[in-house]
Amino acid sequence: MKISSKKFKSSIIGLIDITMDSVRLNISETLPKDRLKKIEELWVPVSLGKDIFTKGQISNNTINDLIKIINNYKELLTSYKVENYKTIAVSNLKEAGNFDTMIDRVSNETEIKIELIDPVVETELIIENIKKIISDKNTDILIIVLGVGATILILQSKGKIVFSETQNIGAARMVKTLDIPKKSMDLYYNYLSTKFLTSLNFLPENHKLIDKFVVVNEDILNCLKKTGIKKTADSFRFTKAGFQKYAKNIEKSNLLELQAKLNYQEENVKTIKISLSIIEKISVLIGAKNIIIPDINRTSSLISRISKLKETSYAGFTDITSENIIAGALEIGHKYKFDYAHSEQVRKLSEAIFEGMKDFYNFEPKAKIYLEVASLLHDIGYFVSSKGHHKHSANLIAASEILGLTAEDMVIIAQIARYHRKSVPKPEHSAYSVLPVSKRLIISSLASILRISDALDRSHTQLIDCLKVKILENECELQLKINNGHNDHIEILRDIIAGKSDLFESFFGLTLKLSRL
Amino acid sequence: MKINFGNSKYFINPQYSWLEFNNRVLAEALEKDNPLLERIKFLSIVSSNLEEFFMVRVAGVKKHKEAGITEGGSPDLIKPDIELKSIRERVKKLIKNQYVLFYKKLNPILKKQGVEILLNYESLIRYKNFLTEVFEREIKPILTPISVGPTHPFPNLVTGRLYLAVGLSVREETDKKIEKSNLSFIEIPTNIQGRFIKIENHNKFVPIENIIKMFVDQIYNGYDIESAHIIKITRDADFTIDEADETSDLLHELETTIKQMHKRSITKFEYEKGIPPRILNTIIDKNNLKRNDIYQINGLLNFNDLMELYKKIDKPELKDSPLLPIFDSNFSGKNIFEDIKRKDFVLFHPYHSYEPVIELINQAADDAGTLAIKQLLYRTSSNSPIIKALIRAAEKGKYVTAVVELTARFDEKRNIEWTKKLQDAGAHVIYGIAGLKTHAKALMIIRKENNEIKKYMHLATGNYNEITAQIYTDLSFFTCDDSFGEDISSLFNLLTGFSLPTGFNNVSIAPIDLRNKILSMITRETDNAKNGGKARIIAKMNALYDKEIVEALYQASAAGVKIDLIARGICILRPGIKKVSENIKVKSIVGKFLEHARIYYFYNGGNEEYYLSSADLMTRNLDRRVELLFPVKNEQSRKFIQKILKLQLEDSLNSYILQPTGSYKPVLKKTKDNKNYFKQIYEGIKKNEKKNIKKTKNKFIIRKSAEE
Repeated sequence: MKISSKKFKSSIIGLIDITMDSVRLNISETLPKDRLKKIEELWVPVSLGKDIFTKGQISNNTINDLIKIINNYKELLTSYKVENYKTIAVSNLKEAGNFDTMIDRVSNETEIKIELIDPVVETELIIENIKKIISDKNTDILIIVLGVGATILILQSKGKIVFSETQNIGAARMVKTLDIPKKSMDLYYNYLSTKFLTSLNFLPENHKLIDKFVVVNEDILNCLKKTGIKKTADSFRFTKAGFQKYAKNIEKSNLLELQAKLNYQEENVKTIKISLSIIEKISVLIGAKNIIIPDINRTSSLISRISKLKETSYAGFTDITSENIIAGALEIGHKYKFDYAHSEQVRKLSEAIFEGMKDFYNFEPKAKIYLEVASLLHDIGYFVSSKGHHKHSANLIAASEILGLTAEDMVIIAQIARYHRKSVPKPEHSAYSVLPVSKRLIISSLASILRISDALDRSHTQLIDCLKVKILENECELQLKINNGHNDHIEILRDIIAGKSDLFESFFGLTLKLSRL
Repeated sequence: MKINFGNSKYFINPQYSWLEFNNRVLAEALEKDNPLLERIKFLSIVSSNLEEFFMVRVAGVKKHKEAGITEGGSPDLIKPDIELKSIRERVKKLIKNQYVLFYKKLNPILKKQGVEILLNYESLIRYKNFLTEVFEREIKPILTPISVGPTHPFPNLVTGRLYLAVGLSVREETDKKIEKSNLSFIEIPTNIQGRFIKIENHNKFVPIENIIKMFVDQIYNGYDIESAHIIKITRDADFTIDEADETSDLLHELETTIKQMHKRSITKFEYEKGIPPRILNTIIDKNNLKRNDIYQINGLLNFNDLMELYKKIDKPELKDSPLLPIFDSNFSGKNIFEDIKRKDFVLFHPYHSYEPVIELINQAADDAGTLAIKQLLYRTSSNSPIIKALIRAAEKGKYVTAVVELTARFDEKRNIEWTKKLQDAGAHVIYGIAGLKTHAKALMIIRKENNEIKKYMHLATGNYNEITAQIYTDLSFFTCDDSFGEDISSLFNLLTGFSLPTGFNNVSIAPIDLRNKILSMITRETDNAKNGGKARIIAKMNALYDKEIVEALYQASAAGVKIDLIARGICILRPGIKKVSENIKVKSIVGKFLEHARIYYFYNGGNEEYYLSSADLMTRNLDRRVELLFPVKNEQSRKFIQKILKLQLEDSLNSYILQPTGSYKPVLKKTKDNKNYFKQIYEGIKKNEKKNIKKTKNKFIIRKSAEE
C-alpha cells in the first residue's frame, strides 16, 4: 500500500530591516503551520533618523556605516546559504534630501535591492501584535507608537480601530528640545503632549474614557528590560502611579550610570528620558488607568509576515479587515459631522451596484473598499463649505488616515469622492491626471457608481430598501425596491439619474435603466 | 554600627597572596609522599610562576610606583614602596627554600635513584671526550659571542634567556689593531638538546652552560678568560596594545610589540654567585638596575628548565602513574551530533578524555551538513589538531569563523603563526573587540540537518588546548539547546562586530552583564538569609581579586550566608573577621593537576543554580575581558558538578585553608583518613563508567592520518 503524505519542506529566510535608528537582520527557519524558528538576530544602531531630522539628509558616514552593516549581514546570510532574503526600509527615509543617491550607493556597493515598506503596514504589524497581547474587547485602548521620525496614535474601541493619525514629531525631533532652558522644559512637554492629543478631542465623547494606554517605543522597552523591571510573559504593565514613579526615577537617575546600564550613547539616554516624560504627561491627560508596554519585536513580526507572502511585493500586505476600515471611515465622518444615514445609504447602494457589476467588469481587489469609504465620506466637505463641497471632501479625505489604507489608497478614495458630482474626470484636472492610468481607471469606474448611488438618495431620505443589478446586452438595469407609499418616486429618480449616468454609461458602455423590483 | 565592608584592613594584598600560592606549590615539591620527579616538576613550576610574577605583577606595582602614585593600587591600600620591599623579602625566602630543597634533598635523592646531574667542573672531566664532541659538533657552531667595546655598545639582553657573562683580558701577543674588550656575553642556546644534555644515553645530565664554560677559551682567541658566570634578566611583559582601528594593524602592531619586548624595563636580574664585582657593576650601570631588583643565585639559574628533566629521565617509577582518560558513556563513538542531541552533558578533564572535543570539530569539518563552525580561541597548542580541523573545514568550503585572542599572554608569537595559516585557508579570523581580551571559550557548529538548522555548542572553562587539557582540570559542557544556540550566536555576532547584544536567554557576558549577574546572585542569597531562609554560595575559581565582589560577599556573610570559596591562587578576601567574614571559608587546592575550572553555585531558596564560567572573579576578567558565564540545567550534569564541589570541599590531602592573617595552613596532612579529591573524582568517574561500559562502546577512533 502506498502511503501518500505531504511532507513539509522547511526553508531559511532572511530579512534585513532598515529603520530610522538601526539596521537589523533576522534569519529564521520556516516550520509547519506557519511557525518560524529564529536562527539569528542582529542589530546595529545607525543614525539615519538623526541625520535626516537634523541635517535634512543622510551623511556620508552614515551611508558608509549602512553599507558595511549590510555587507556583514550578507556574509552571515551566505554562511547559512540563504538565498531567499529581503531588505526593507521604512518609508520615512524618503524624507532625506539625498534619498536617491543613498539608495543608489547602497545598492551599488551591496548588490541588494531595498524595498520601502508603507507606514501603514508597520502600524498594522504593531496592532496585530498588540492584539495578541491585549485581547480585551470591551474597553477603549489608546496606542501610541513613538518612533524616531514620527508618532502614530491609534484608538481602539470595542475591538475596532476607530482612529489613527500620524504626526511628524518623533524622538529625533524631540532631542532638539534639550536646548530649551530646563525651567521651560516642563511647559514644553505639556504643550507637546497636548498637541499629540488634539485630534482625539474631536472624537465623539464616548471615547474619552480610555482604559488602557499602550506605548510602543523600543528605547523605553529596552530601558525597562535593562533596569530590572518585572515583565509578564509579553509586556510590562504599570498602574498610572507606578509608571509615574518609574519615569520620575529614570528622570532623576545619573546620566552616566544609565548609559552604562543600557549600553547606550549619551544622546539616546536623553531621548529615553524625554520619551518617558512625554508618555507620563499623556497618561495624565487621558487619565488612563493602566499603562502597558508590549514586548514586540518589529523585525521578527515582519519576517513572520514575509514568510507567509507568496508575492514578492508588499501590495497585498495589508491584513486589516474591511470592517475595521469602515469603522475608521465612520469615525472620520463623525468628526466632520456627516449625515450618517445618507452616507450609509449611499454606501449600501454603491455596494449593491458594485456587487452586481463585478462579474461584468474586472475590478481590482481593493476597489470595493475604496468605493465604500468614498461613499461614506463623499459629503464631508460640507464641514468646510457647501460651495464646491466635493473638492473639500477630496482634500479632507486625502489628509486623513485610516488604518489599513495607505496614503496612496487615500488619494484614490479622495478622487472618487471628488467626482461624485459636477464635472467628470478631465485631463486638465491636475490631481487626477498626475495619477497613472491604472489608478485613473479605478477612479472613473468607481466615481461613476458613486454618482449613481448618491443620486439615488438625493433626497437624503433613504427611500430605497433594496437594489438589484441586471445586466443585459448594452444595458444595465437597476431594479429598485422603494419604500411603501413612495412608488411614484421612481419617476423622480429616473429624472435625476438621467443627469448623473453620463460617466457610468460612457465608462462601462451600458445604457442605465431603472425599474421597480 | 554600620560596617564599612570596603575597609582596607579587610583585604589581603594580592601580591602577597600570589606568593602564598607559590609557597603552596613549593610545598608540593617538599612533600615526601610525592614521587620524586613530580617533586622536581613542582619545583620547576615554582620558578616559572615566579618568572611570570615578575613579568606581570611586580612590573605592575613598579609602574604604579613610577607613576608617582603613593597610595596602594589594590584594595588593601599598601603603598608601592612597602609592597615592593615586602615582595623582595618574601621572594628571597622562597628562592632560598627552593635551592635548599634542590641541593640538600632532591638532588641527593636523584643520585640515589641513579640519576646524576653534573653540576661542577670536576665531575665533567670523566666525560671530556664525549663533551668535546658535543661542543664541537653541536654547540660551538651556533654560539654568538656579543662583546662589549668602544664600537660595540652594551647589548640588549632578552628577557628570560640565560647568558654567560665572560670576563676577558687581552693577551700580550694579540694583534694591537683588534678592538679590545674585557666583557662579553654568550646566549646559552636551548634549541640543541635543551638545557640538560644527556650523557652517553645514561640517566646522567649536564647543564649546557657547564659545557660552554668548559670550552669557553676556545671561543675567545687571543684572550685569557678571567671569569664566566650565568646571568638572566626578566623584563616587564605587561604590555597593552594601543587600540587599532583595523584588525590587520593589530596583528602588525603585536608583531612589533613582541620584537620590542627586549627593550622593556627590567623587573629582576639574577646572577650566579662568584661573578667579579667589575662585571656585576658594569651590568648594573648599563641597565640602570636598582639594588632591589638584583638576586644572587647560589647554584643553577632558571629552575624552570628542571621540567626538562621530568620529561627526559627515563624512570616512570619516579612519576605519578599516568592517568588513563575515561571516555564518557554519553559518547557512542559514532556520530557525536546524535550523542549531543540525546542530552546535555558535562565532562571533567583530564579525568574525562578531551578527545570528544576534538572529535566534535573533526566530525564537523568532514560532515557534509555542516554550514559553519565558529570558535573562540584563546590559547591553543602549537601543533593543534583543532586548528588543523578548522583549516580543513575552511578548505572544504564551510564558513569558519575564529575569534582569536592575539594578546593571550606569552602566547602571542605562536598565535600569530597559526592565525595566518587559518586566514590562508579561507577562514574568517577576527581579533575580537579592541581593548578587551576574548577569554571566553566557546565552539558552535551550525548544521543543516534533514529538515532543520541545528546548532551544537561546546562551552568550557578551559582553553582549546589538548595538551594543557591533560594537566588542567576543566569542565566541558555540550548542548544543542536552541536557547543556548541563540545566545552563542549573539555572542559571536557581538565579537565579530556584526551586531550589538540582543539580550541573552541563559548566558551572561563580561564586560556586559556578568559582574552584575554575579552580584545579583550574591545579593539574592544575602536577602534570603536576611529573611531567615537558608542561603549558601560555593564558588570555585582560580583567583578572587575584585573589591566589589568581595564586599558583596562580606555583606552576604554578615547576613548569615554560608560561603565556601575554593580559590587556587590569589584571594584578597580575608576570612574569619568578626561580623564581616565569619561565615566565609576559603580553601586552595594544589596538587596533581592545575585547578582551572570555574564553578559558581547558589542555593537560591532551594531552587539551586549551577554556573560554569571562563571568568575568575577578578576585576580584569569582569571588566576588561570577554567572558562567558552559563547555567547547567541538565539534572545529571548538575549532580556531577555537585559531586565535584563536594569532593573538593572534603579534600584534605591537597587543601590549604586561608587564615585571617593571609597565610595558608594545610589540612590534616598526615592522618589516616586523608581525602584525596583528585583520586576520588577519578575513581568515582571510573566506577560510574564501568557500569556503562558494557552497554556502549565508548572509544573514539583516534585519527592519525586523516588530517595530514
